[in-house]
Amino acid sequence: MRRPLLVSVSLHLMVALLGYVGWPSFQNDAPLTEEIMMIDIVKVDEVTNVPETVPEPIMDDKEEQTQTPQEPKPLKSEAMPVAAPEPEPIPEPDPIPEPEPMPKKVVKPEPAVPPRKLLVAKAKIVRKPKPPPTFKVSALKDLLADMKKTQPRAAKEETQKATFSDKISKAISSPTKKFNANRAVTISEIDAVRRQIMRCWNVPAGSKDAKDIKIEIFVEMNSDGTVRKAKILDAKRLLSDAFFRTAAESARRAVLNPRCSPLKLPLEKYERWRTITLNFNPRDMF
Amino acid sequence: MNKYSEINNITKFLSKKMMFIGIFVLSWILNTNYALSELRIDITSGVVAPMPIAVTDFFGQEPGVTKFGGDISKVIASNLARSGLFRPIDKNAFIQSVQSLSAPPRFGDWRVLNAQVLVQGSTKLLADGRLKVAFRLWDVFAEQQMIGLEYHTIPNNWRRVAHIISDAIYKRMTGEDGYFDTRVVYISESWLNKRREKRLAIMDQDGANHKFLTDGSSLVLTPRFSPSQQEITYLSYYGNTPQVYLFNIETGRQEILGEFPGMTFAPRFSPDGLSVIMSMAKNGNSDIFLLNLKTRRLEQLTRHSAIDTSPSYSPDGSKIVFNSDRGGQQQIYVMNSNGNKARRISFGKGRYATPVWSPRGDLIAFTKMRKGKFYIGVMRPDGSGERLLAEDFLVEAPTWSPNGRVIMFFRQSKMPGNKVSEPKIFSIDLTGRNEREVLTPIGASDPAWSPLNL
Repeated sequence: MRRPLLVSVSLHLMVALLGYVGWPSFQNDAPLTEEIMMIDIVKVDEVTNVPETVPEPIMDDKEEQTQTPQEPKPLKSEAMPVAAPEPEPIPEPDPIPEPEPMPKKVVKPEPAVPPRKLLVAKAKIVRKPKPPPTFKVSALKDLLADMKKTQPRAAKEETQKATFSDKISKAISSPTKKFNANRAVTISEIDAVRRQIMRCWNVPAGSKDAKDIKIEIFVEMNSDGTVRKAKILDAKRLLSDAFFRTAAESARRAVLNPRCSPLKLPLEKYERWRTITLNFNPRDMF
Repeated sequence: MNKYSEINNITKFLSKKMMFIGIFVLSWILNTNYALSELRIDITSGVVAPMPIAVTDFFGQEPGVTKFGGDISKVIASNLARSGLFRPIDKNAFIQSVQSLSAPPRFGDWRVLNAQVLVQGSTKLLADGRLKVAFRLWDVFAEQQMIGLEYHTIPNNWRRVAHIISDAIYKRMTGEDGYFDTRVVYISESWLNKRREKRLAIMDQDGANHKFLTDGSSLVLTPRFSPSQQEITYLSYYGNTPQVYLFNIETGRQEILGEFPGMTFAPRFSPDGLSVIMSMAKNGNSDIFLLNLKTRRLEQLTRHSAIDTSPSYSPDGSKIVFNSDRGGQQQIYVMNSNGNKARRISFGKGRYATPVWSPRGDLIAFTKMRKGKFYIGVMRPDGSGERLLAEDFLVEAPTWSPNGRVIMFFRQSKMPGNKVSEPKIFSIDLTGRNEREVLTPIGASDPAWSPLNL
């Protein structure tokens, strides 16, 4: 009689414990992830060694400053007696079809795989210059000489030591950290791209319910960080919803904007950002 | 004993099963995580800046139509610039010639100018004397045509065509109707023999085609456009009693809406244009009345000892927003269109007046007075989300563009020496960032925006 009671009580306790420990984490889920992102932006920088984002010249402001607002010219007023205005025939609009498609221009030849490899190799060499050879050779030779004195051994062993020294020198000259192309794109790298695209996105801000706009753009990338193709997902809605079309096209223009090209992505990790899905939603603006 | 062992067995079995399920769920979660590892980036904000647009001169081969092409493109560019949403690029920077644009444009030439969209068009004089105007709108980055239309009209009508094309571009780019093919009536003000002369005047929304409608022999106030016809309702003093009148723009005919027992003022059309809602003052108290234009039957909507005035319909005609001091101070109230269920919506500090329901339905514009200053603002129909867009010594008489994105009003500023400036009309968009003066020949107040395509 006691055992099932014990089993039952312990099971109940376990469930209660699980509920107590597990439940609050569900509720705190959303705010927690946001905080983690904030911390990562600062921390990850050192590890990933992303090329510094150089602030681009603020072209927009200057252009806007020089631009004079175009206002209608003052009228030469003529006091006219009340007269019936001439009836104006209302012009009828006729849709005109799109002109014949032009011969497809190859805008950007897609680079084949070899050039990408070359790029990667280059990047490696530039990043980690070999330490000067004099350093390790002399130091190791001295060390070996000392060892010879203290431990006279056969010539056979000496050859072994030679290979050993070779191994060590190799180990020293090789890069300390091997590049791993499979490593994920870091948050700091994503953040750099995010900031870049935000500056190119002309948000249709005045439209009704602008803050609820949600657009997904599927982007195919070239290995040099330029955009090969940008596709609006949910193409059906393009035809039915004029607001969505406006917003979606503005998002696509942001991706295709030459000012945002190439995207500041780590070229070595091309495999990881060969395709990107961009979610546009201007929730931070309202 | 048997029972216990059975239970034991069941628990053992269950725990084993649970473990399997657990492993399965875990592997599934890991799997989906892996599948989702495709790079996704959230873009959560952007810039609100005028979009760079290239508007080329419309190309015409005959010498007579070349001028039209340039003029049309100029009107379009200035319309789009005034909206605050577009920034036309200086024509001198254009690389590709207008002639060569007849085929699809060389997008690279426009991309280097950072033109996001390109307007290109042509003009042609037809054998019957009419002018053919065609245009195309191109997405420069996506290298696609966004819209292409053509119009046939008499050559003198070129300005109207330019406005219609501006509206087409605006609609394609914003998803909302434009407001360029519209007109504005207003009260033109000047001093004449030490008397303030007020005349009804009309012009295109860009200030062109200006015309006076009345001669100034009697005082006119608060003109309002009919939503469906070439008609204006307004307040005029013939003799000494202010009464509400109707004015037909096409015929120039004026008529009094009726002989009423008291003075009538603050008229406004219903959304269907079939009736006029207004205030009538009798025995020192004013209430809101509805006048059917066909039957001329008058219906009283509010019965309150307080002053009820400035009524304005919601675009669906189901509600009326008005101004009342029934709470002790001028505030904004909303009631059903039959006069029932009036409730206060403005609760900010200060007094509120002249509410106008947006044609889009989402906002109500108003005038606010507080601490010796006037403000033009907007709030939602439930009174929430109050935003003030303009302020001055006097800002009054808000009127909506037909698409509900721009408000016109008039402004008087304090001048040195305790003087007040001549009234001037201004327009401001809902962002509050794009305020522009609407140029008029002399002082101007009480603007009223027409609906689209009248």
